[in-house]
Amino acid sequence: MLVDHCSYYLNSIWKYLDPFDPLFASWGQVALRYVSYLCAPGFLIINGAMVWWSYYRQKSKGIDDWTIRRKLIQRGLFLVILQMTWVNSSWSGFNSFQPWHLGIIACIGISMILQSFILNFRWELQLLLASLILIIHPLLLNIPYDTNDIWSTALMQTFIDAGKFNKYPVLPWYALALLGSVMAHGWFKVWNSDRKRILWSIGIGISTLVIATVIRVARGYGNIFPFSDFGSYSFFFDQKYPPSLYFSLWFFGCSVIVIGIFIAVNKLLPRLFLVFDITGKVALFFYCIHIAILGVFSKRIGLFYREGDVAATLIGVVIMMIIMVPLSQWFYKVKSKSKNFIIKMM
Amino acid sequence: MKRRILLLFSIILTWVLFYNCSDRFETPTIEKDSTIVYPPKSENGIYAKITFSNKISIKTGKPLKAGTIFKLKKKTKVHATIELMDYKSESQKELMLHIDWLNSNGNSLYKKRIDISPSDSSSSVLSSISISPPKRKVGEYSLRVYLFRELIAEKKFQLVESIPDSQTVKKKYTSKKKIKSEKKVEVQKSTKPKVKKEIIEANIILCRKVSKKTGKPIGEGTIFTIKENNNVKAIVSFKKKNIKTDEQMKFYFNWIGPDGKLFYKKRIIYTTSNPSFTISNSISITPEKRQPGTYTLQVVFHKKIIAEQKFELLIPTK
Repeated sequence: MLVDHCSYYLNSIWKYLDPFDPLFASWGQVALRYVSYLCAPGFLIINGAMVWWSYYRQKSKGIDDWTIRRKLIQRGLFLVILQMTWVNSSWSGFNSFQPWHLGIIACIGISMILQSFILNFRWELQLLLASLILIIHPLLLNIPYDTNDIWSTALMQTFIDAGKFNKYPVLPWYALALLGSVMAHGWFKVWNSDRKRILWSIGIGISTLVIATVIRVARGYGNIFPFSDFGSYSFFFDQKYPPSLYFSLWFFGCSVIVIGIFIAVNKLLPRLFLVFDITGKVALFFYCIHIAILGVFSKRIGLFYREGDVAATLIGVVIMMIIMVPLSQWFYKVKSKSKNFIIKMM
Repeated sequence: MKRRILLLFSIILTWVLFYNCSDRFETPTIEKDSTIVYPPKSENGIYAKITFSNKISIKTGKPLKAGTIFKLKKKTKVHATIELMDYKSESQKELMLHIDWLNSNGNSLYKKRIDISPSDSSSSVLSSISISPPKRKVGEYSLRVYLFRELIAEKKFQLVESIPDSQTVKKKYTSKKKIKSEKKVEVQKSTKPKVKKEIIEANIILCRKVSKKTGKPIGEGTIFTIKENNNVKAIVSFKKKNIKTDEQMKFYFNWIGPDGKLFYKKRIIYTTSNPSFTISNSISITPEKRQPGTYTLQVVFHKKIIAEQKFELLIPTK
């Protein structure tokens, strides 16, 4: 995420890169963009898993279903409002107020609201629902709508299609959140040792990658962009906005494998992920503040705005981490003591 | 030891995933005609040659008076002819080609995606941009060609000012004034925004070719004969009310065969500030490629068919 956002502000490729139809001049640029493709699926999967965990933790404390649901809906709405106010404005360095636009944070918020209604469903049912959504979504993309009509655009792009109003339509991403909830059933309940968690995560991840590969190689349903050969750049770059069936499955597989690897590496080198542990505890704060800093200093003031390339992006990442890690640590302390509604929600 | 293996594994995995997936060499070669070519790694890989010109021969379809320096002039265009070399080797699958025109600041000013189906035997692609003075400025521009999202060729060209005289200076002065007054109007308008439903009208004319001299269609109609070197050219005139400055619009030209199946789809991203504009697209109607029957051309904008035209392809009578 940070890599992609630093690239967006510092990398000159963004002068001509169209995220809906990306073109690349070097493998460095491909790597930079591709790494960030893991981000949104990862966000939704982890969020889905966290919602599951939060539900069962509260349930074990004797809190009733509707109280838990109310809290989740409240948080979901908070995320939608946060997107429309702070996040949208921060992209331009607070140069303009653009509330009528949704994005990944709003998508997570709406997914959370929808997920709150089916949390008590069995994992098999949730898996079935997620699979059905992913399979049907490519068909829904054929629904015609007039992009000049505000209401049909808002409705279509909130749930199905991607465009200027919203790059992250809820349906396909909600399916990933549901898959995250299914995985949480394994991670937090069934697989009772790290070894099991690692093996099952990697096993499920690889199986999903195989299914995704079969869909891609068939070049038919579930594909959007054509590709040249198996294993080429274009093979891996199917459409992200909105995601194709191949994209959703491929990145679900990758994310689950990465989580499995993280569990494994954390066992071998527990201190390696300390930095991520700090920022991960206040992930929403990290997201909101790092964009604001980049937006103000790079876009608004013009500091190295789209002047560099891959190296500039990576230097930007290091500088931002130097700024954000202590800030996140400070905010975590503030958050643990605070009773303020907004601070607690972050 | 385990840690070292893990680190080594991660490095190898990253390298395999990203670097080895490239179909092209990172170091380009510069051709005699100054096209920067990123050679394919495989022996059968496609590479491209770019030629810029002011004019295109109607008879041969080849560029006339090729060059890399062009004068900014009203109603003038720079045409790029992109010739795909070793095209046959890859012709068994659909090719995804992108043509991106960049201005002197490196910003994309016009991007076009062309999907070439295996049935299309044409090995060259044409793209052009207007170089009228209010639209374009003096500077070094470039054209990039991407195959399956990878840069395969690039070529630069220069736009220079026509010899300035007192008239042009005067014109410039008045046009600046005009722009300022237009800007004022824009500011006034922006204070009280009105939501208007945008309407786009499209009118399709089918013809065999376009006259080089007059620019008018030749052989206009809806019945065409299947023959070697014959084409059906669609000239689509658009009218769009309330057009924004440098508005980017995405059109699809869907060519549908007698079996009702789409055999060629061309996506065109067009940037203009002019409420009336024309886009053309053509298909080859050689005997190897086309069967007699009723064909349909659909023009799609914002996922809606905004114009449709049926036409007949006939076998020549002996």
